[in-house]
Amino acid sequence: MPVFPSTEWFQQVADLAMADETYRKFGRVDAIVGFRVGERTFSLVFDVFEIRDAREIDDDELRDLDFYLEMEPARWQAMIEDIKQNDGAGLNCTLNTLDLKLPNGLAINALGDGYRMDKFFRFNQSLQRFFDLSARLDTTFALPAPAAGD
Amino acid sequence: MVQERANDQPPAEPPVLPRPDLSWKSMTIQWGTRAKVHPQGGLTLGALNVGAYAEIPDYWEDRSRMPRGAFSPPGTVGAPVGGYYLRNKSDFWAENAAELYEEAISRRWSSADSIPWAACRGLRDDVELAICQVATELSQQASIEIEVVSSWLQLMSYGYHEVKLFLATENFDAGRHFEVFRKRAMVNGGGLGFESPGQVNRLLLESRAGWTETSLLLHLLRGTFTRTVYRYLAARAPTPVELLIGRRALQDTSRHIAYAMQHLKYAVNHVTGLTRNLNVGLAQAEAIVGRDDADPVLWEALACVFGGGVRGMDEGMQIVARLRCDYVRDYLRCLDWIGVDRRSSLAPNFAALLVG
Repeated sequence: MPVFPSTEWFQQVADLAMADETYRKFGRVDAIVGFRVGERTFSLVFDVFEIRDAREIDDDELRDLDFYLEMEPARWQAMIEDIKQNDGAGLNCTLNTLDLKLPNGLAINALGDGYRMDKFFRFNQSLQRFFDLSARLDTTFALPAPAAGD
Repeated sequence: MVQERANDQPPAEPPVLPRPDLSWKSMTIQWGTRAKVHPQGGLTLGALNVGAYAEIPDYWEDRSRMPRGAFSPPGTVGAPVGGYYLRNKSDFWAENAAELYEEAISRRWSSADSIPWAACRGLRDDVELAICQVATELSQQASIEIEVVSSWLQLMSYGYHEVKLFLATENFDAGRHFEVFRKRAMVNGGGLGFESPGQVNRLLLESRAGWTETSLLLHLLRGTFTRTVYRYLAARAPTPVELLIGRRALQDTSRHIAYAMQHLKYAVNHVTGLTRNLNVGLAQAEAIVGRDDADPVLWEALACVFGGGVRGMDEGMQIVARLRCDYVRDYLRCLDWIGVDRRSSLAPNFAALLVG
């Protein structure tokens, strides 16, 4: 069973998305995206319909990302469990809902580049579908410590 | 009979054809220049900008419809057909236009069959009425967007076709937004509500200083507001129908804003004194927004939607206050990126929204 967060977990969801007709129907994506879970960060390259280069990155690589999604570990777990339970995010756990709930928003560009950060909005439906597909995994959780300030 | 007479005639000499000119065969800038096909993304508009075809001049001399890289007929100087007054690259260029065009084509959607219309049945009357009012205003905003973009599109010269093509997709997007919100107003029998007071609409339609100034007003002043409403609908909609409409319209509008940000940054960096002019224009425009904002209809309708009905309007109004604050933050964030500082001279009505 894939463990969240891990490179394997993100790779498995990426594989599901690349094979998913609905994901492809939402159209091409061009973004380098990070997922920050406590002190750990993973990145993926969304290149047209391919999703590649799943890996864990260091903090000094955050600047290379168009944006990263940051939540405290418990909130990540709640979102993924909600997706599993509802076969897709319920209204309280969509990326948009979480974005408005968090004081600094969900999507962050490390350098404060608003143009690159806006890709979160431009490819919003595809990113939501990406996470919704995690409902097909039997995820187990090994949550890292919250990041400083969480 | 006709056939018999024809048979009596001697065979006709074959007509003497003029010798082929074929001079057109040498008329190519760079024979052998091939655009590369991306293994995943296919042959994109941006990939055509290769070799000599990648040279995009700062000023486009020609006032005809001649495509960039083509030739006028020998002996003529690109027969002007009138119009095409915008010929400076800084008038409307954006580096991301070709990329955004492909994105728009690939991520298109149809409101007829992409929205689960049956899923918005059964709302309480007060919420249904409120949604219809919100849909009326968003639909009207989209129709204004079509008219504004269309009126400028015909003035843009053919030397920068990437932008013309992208803006054509914006018109299609805005057309889709017009009809999807009109459909939402009509689908449950609620129908259309009040139109907006229209001061900002008029400002957009009558903006004549230039496309750059118009894009600033259309995409950053109005566009970031519309985007914020879409974000809130995508997060707090009463049914999956408004949620999906909000999410998909959010993507489209963010593309339009992305174009504007790149264009405005390019223009600010290439036109002396433009930053000051944009600042002055925005100071006036923010005050005009205040006149529309004084009308309570949209705020009350949104509060009713977010609060779950008239009884929840107090809570709904708090959410509307956050929406309006988020709008001003988004607006300022985009302006920061293009290099226009409004924070130090923000209109009082905008500044008040930031502090709640």
